[in-house]
Amino acid sequence: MYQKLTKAATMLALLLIMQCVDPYRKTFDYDDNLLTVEGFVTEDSPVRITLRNTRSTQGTSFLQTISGAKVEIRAKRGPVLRLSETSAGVYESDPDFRGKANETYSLYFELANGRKYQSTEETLVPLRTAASYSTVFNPRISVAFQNFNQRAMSSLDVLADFNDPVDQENYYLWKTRLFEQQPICLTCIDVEYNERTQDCNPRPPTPSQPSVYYDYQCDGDCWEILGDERINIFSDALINGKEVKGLLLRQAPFYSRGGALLELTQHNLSKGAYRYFERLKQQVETSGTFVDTPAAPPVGNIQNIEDAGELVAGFFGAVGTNVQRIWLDRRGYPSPLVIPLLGRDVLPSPRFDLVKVPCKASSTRTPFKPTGWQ
Amino acid sequence: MKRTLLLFILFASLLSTSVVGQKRPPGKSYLVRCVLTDSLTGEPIVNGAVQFNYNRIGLFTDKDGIFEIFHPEGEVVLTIRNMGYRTFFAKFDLRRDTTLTLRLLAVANELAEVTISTQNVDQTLRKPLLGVTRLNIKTIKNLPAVMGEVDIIRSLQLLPGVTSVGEASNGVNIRGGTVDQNLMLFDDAPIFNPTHLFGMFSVFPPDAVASLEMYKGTTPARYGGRAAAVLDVAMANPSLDQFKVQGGIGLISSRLTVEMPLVKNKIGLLVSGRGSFNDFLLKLGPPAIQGIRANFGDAAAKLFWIINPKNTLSVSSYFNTDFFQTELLGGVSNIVSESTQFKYNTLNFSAKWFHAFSPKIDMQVVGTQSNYTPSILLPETSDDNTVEIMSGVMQRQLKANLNYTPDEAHKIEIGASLVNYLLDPPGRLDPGTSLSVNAVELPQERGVELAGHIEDEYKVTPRLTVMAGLRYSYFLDLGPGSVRAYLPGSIREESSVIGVTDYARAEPMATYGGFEPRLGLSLKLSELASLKGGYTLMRQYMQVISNATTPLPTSRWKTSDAHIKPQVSRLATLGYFQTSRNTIFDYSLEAYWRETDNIVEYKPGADFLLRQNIETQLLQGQSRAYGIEAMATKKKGTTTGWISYTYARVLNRVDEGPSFLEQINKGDWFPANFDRPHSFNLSLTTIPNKITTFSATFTYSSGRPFTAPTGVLRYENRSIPYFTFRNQDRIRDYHRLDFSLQLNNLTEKNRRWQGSWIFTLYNVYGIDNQYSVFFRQIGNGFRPYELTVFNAPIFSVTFNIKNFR
Repeated sequence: MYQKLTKAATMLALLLIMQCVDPYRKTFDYDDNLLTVEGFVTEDSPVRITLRNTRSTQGTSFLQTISGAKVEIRAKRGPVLRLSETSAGVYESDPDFRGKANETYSLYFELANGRKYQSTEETLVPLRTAASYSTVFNPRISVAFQNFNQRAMSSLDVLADFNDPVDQENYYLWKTRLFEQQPICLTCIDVEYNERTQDCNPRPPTPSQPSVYYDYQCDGDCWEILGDERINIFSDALINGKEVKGLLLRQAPFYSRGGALLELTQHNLSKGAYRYFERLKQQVETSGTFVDTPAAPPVGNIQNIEDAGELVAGFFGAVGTNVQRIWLDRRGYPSPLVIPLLGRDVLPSPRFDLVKVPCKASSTRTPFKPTGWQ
Repeated sequence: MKRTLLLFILFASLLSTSVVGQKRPPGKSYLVRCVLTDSLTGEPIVNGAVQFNYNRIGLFTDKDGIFEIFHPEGEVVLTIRNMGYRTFFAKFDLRRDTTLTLRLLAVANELAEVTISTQNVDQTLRKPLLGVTRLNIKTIKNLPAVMGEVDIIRSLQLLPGVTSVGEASNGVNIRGGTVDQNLMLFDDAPIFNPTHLFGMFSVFPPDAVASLEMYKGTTPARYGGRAAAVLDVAMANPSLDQFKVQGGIGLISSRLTVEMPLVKNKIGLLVSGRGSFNDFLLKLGPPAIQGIRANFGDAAAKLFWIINPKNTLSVSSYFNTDFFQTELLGGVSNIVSESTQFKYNTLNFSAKWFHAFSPKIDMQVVGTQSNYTPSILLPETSDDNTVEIMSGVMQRQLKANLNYTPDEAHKIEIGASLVNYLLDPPGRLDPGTSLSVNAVELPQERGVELAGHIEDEYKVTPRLTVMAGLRYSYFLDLGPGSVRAYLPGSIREESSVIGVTDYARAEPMATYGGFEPRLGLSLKLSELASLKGGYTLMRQYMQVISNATTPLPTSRWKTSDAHIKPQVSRLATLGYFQTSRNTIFDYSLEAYWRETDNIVEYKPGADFLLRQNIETQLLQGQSRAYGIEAMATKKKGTTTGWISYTYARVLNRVDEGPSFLEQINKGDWFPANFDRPHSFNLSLTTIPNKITTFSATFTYSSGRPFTAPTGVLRYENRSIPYFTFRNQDRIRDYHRLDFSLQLNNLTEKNRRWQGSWIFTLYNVYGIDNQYSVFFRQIGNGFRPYELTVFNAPIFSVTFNIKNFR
């Protein structure tokens, strides 16, 4: 009787909270161009502004770099700094340039088509309290691999502690980069690697089913650079002057039992910059519940001088900065859940030990040993 | 608003008569015989509803317009109502067998609009207004209810012109109005949060409700303060002559209502309570829901006193409470908590004094107080401390109405009202013992609304009746407080503040006001058809600030101030009404057009939490709603019900300036969250015998809009969707079929008690209707998800019991 009652009660409870979240199979008909501007003036590095256009069409999107623009950084108490295009869509200052504390900067640029844009003024407020970081072993988290495939893994959770200064409003942003050693530099699907073109051979028009994977080793050291999967911002609006402890910044999954390097860059944002990153964060870090903040365009502080109604994404900021690197030692934890970076075991190519592939430097990979690697 | 007393009688006589037909019961009883005829034609009035001593149970006249009953000696208060006639009210001392010959005054112009009727005494009350719907609680109780919980708000959504954003909607949208634009009254006191558990169930305790009137067209001039519609729910009066108990046990909640005469035929008390007991069930559930706690309860009490034939006094109180705990949603920086709790309470009081100066003049004085206190609680993981974010909404009102019926052509009402709005506080963060966050308290907001109105229902000719009303309202936003000045021509934000003006206590910081004309016309085209038109202007001085799909129970309320202008709505309606020759069917076709100024929208990415100068997060604009509603109702017979189709649109436009942040959708018209162009509803109730009542409802509506991405933004090797336009896509269309079977009086062994079982099957064919579509980050990409609620058939059983004569 009791069992029956329990069963009935469980059923009822399920009914009461009868709600269900499922992937929604729908392709959205994008048709939009979005000018995106990114770049910070900091005290410890030259200025680097990227101008890009995101072209979204029919359910997909691609980036178009914007070349040939005239880009200037205007300081309130200093000269106009002209940036030069160092690679397509990337505009950089003189390598010696550094932002000055308490100086106010704005960005001005003019595209080749004559459209002129400017940002609001941003004052560089130095970061007064650098955070200290610690790690905690987390036996089980969910990690996404290709095709939204979610797997359970163990991780080292990286936490920040700091004291918020009482006499000013503070808005923080952390950007992190996780460096993981990568033995496999290329995977060709259904075809083999072509050493002459340094790429996979073209795929046949009718590939075999199921697909065959060929993994190729790197010809030297190679590190995968894994960026943030969430936007780490923090406002002191409700905690001004308090001690902040255990702020979770990043979960570093156990891609191996060996070590990994985490680079943490802490910025001191203006309120406007914070609001921009908050909006960006709201786009996807929602839960689908009834309390969600609705989606809003990620409008930043850059405006078309002649058309205030044009949406320009991105934020030009003048920010205080602190960079720290911590070594993640993953040895000595009891039976962690480990899945390699590939999300599977290596599938050796026919001449696995003979044919090796160079590690090409990019924003997600580097052949150069990162600072702090042990 | 009930004003049933002291209406017109042409002729009444008291005669001695002999006992006929019935057996005289033991004790001192006399026969009351009544012959009811039409005042003009002299024809008998069939099915006239007769009530004794304010009792909700009554009798009906037979085919000859006659009823007879033996009644105990003593004072008798008699109320007779019939569709199309003015209500008759009389009080006399019964000391002998008595015959009354009554000629009721036909009110031909009071032709039916949408009245959903059952075989109940209250069915026949008609308003000479367009777009007024009177729903009887018996009708609602017969409809299939989700998990067996009788629900006024859900039942309303079966009517044309009433929609919502979905299953978990915290209120209804009536003819293009937002949820907070509806004035919801329970025994005259406003209700700020009409639902339990985030929209799952409505807050009105079904056994304490007598009836409800919904004004979605011409709103009488006595109502004000909200821009769209009025839902006036009347609490039942207690029985004055009999102790009555009724109760019910359901899967979700259990109920008990007691009515007791304190002084027989003078003073009665009604107490009704309802409470849920889900917690222990949730604890037994699968791990995913073990952390969820969901409880609610409500209680109502009413004291009704007939002081003398000219004075009645009623005092009522209403309380409701909700507690909902779920896994952490959002949260507060630096507070480590594993769950979020929502707790909200309503405590209302109202007192009403009715005084009849003469058969032609009567007066009502009403005082109400509504207090609503929502809060979000974050229990800290490390210790017993709980961090609380709360607000308090208080509305007090004193109003008086004088009704004057000088002759049969005029019905005049004059009234005045004083409303005090108090948000104390509009928002507060109480850290408790936590050292991790600072306390925050937003300054009080106070406002006063003064209003006066006059209205005349004038029967110009036998065919034409005009209801002309004029209300004037004046609102003062009162200090203490400070008002910021923003740089003219700039966006309202922190950086454009150019000055601050401080105001002392009770000093007006902003004032608004204006006339609110109300006009209703009824033109009788034939004995069975009429054409009606109306115009209503309403002003709203307090509103909900929300950026969620439906306002949350914890959403912030905001009075109009120097920056937030009151919402002003103008509604024009036109309708055609036809009754079938046998008066079994009613048909109606109504059209409306509403324009609302100063609707409140949120800026892209707005943040309201504990924010002091909320105007920096808001934009104001216009709303335009229009629609056509067609409905056919079967009022009599074994099977009753209605079928309706509505085409309705709600479009908003916000264009405060040239900047992207001052516009929504480039300043063009865009669909509101609850814009659902097509709706179709079917409701049928069949009562084949005394034991069985079977009901079925079917509902269909277009999917509501949601904001779909316009493209993908690349940020730091991540793909992030972005949303340039609001509400430009739609979720799937919604449809659902429900059944309900009620079995009454299964045993006759004990005649004092009547039990009934109600079996409900909600969502019969198990459709997985979408509630929302949203986007979630997975790795460096994102993926759309859909949330469905009640996506399988839900069976429930309720057992009800009541004592009866």
